[in-house]
Amino acid sequence: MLLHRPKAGVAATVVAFLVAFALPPIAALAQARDGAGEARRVVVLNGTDPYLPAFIAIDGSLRAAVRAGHPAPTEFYAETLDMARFPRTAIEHEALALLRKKYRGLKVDVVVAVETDALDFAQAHRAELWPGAAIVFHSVPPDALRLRRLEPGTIGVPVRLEFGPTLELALKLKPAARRLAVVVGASEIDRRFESLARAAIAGHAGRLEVDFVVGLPLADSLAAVRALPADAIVLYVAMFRDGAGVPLVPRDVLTRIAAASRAPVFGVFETYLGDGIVAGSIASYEAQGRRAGELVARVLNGEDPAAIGAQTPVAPGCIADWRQLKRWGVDARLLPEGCEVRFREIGPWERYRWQILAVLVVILAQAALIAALLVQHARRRHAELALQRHRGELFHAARLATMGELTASIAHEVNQPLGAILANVDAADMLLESGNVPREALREILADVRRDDLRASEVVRRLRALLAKHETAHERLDVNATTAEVLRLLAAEIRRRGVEVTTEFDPQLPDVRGDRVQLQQVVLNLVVNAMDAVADLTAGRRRVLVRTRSIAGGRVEVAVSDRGPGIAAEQIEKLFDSFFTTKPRGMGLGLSIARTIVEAHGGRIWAESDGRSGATLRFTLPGAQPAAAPVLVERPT
Amino acid sequence: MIELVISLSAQAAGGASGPAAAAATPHTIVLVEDDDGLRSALVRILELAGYRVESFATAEDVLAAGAAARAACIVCDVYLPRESGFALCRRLSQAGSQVPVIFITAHDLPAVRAEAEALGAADCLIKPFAGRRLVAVVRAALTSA
Repeated sequence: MLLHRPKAGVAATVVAFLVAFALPPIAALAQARDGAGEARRVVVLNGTDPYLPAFIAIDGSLRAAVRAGHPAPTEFYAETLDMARFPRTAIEHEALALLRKKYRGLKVDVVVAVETDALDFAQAHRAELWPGAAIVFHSVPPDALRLRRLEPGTIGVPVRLEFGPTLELALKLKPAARRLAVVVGASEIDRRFESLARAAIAGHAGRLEVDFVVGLPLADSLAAVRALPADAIVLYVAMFRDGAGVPLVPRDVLTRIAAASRAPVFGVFETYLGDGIVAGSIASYEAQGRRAGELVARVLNGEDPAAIGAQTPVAPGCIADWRQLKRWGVDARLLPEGCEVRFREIGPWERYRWQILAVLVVILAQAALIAALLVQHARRRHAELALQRHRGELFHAARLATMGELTASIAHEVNQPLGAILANVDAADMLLESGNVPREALREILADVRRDDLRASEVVRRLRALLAKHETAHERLDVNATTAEVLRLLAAEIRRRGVEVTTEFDPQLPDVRGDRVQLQQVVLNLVVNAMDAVADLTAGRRRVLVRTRSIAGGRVEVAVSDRGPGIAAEQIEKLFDSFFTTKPRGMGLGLSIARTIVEAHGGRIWAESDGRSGATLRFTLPGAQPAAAPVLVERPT
Repeated sequence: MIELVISLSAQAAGGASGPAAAAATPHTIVLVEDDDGLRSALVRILELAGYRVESFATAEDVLAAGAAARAACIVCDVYLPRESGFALCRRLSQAGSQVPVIFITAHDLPAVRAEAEALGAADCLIKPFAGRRLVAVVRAALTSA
């Protein structure tokens, strides 16, 4: 692009200068370098198009092999005869003239002849153009060599075009095939390949019905493969030029043939792989280029070509295209052993196997850890639930025990209204017997019966609430009302024992959160204990004071004081221990359970006494906070 | 109500007490029961049976009113607030009272019955009891007295 930038006038001046002075010194410069004895020269003479993908691939590995085998500086000159497009007879004279001019006086060491035309040309004109140069050929089939006489100083690597083995491979991969379409172009090279293909196919004539799609315009060739039945196979040979005379790149034609074809396509050139053929018996370009390059290097290193001698062809091998195998549903297991499969679509597993394994290991480790933690959590939760259940059962048992002590009072509480009902019923009966029944009097009696009945059922309800096993509740509670209810339940017992229970309830008391029955159990326990403490005092001195008040931090305090003998200092500390009791028939569980309940509600319980005149047991509870949650559970049975 | 009581009391005095029922004025029964509901029911049945009833909730109130002196029979609950029914009975005996006492209690305990007997109670009824039974017991106590 940059060369086109200068203005036309300047360019013209430069060209004129070059014509006038520069041409003779080109050879002079080259010779001067030759005189320095450093660089060796290699001319790569291509008979067709050096930019064909195959030749680009071969040339790359050839030059690499030369550099590897002959480290000294080597100059490469590229020449093309392009005889696939331009018939030899038409341009040979001019091409020769040009080359004669270019290489006059230039010492060339090796001429690499690419393709049969180049080999013929190089042998014919070596003495004139590149005297003393060795010829190293490649991309020439053995059949072509058989027809030629190789001059001394000409060596090379033949290449076999494996039409026969490729056809056998195709039949192996598609055993049901009954038809074969052979697609070939119309150029001279195409025809040369065609004759090789025909010779190979002749061996399978009995088994296959063969269509030769030869020398047709490209569109017709495409139509022909498009019309093939499913049980066909296609052997694509080459198409340098189609029947309409359009020059083409065989690989590009293959792409279109493969796209149009209804049958799998096979071929013998490596460049066809990846562009539509399923597989083929193919000589690798890399190997061809490398082996030719090694010969060039040996010659440059001073070996006599005659001593190097004739070379065996590059060994072809099975090469397949993974994507085409899949496209045509060909089972890859049918491929011969050692067949190279290219373009294998590497799955995520093959591509990232170690990463995936590492991630899996991490995930598994994490999963195991999580599972272990979950199991541990479940076990702990199970244990906690069991503990709570046992505690709930213990609480319940303790309540039953406490209430058992109050049986007489409870019977009394129920019997009072029942007695009243019986008396009233008899009264009504007597009224009826008298014959003179004032409706008003009867109504009064019935109202009393109803009231007493409700009273009795209220006692039963309170009892049942306290005695039944229940799921721990977590409700807002008015401590005053909760405490008063306990005292109502105890009323008969209080009377029976001749105790005077007074209450001082703080009307401004905040609510608490918790389980009503459990807190009532605590109050019940404290009041019964207090009554026990004053039992031995004379009637007028059996006093118990139940007090509630709000204290700092929005907490609630409930205190039960008695005027009993007090608690000795050494007993105060053990008071809330399990199985510690001062009572002859006590189990020593009441206060221990009270402490458990209070602490589960986020509170504290303690005793105060001077050891002489009475004792006060206090417990505090946090005011109702949304988050305060007791954890005790009693299951309903 | 008063008319009714009078008519029934005449019937009661003439019927159940038999010909021996000389008193034209009804007997006064002193009832001590702290339970309001039961007390009013017992008052009602005793009045229907033809008695005059003075009822109290505590032993102290009985003493304060000097009701024992007017009583033909005392029906008394055992467990009362502060002073018990037994204590009241004891006081009255000590003061020379000969009035028959009938204890009523919800505590059907041997100890309670024993104490009642020891105090010379005319009877001891265990709650709940039928109203007619109380009337019968009162009548018996009055007769034997």
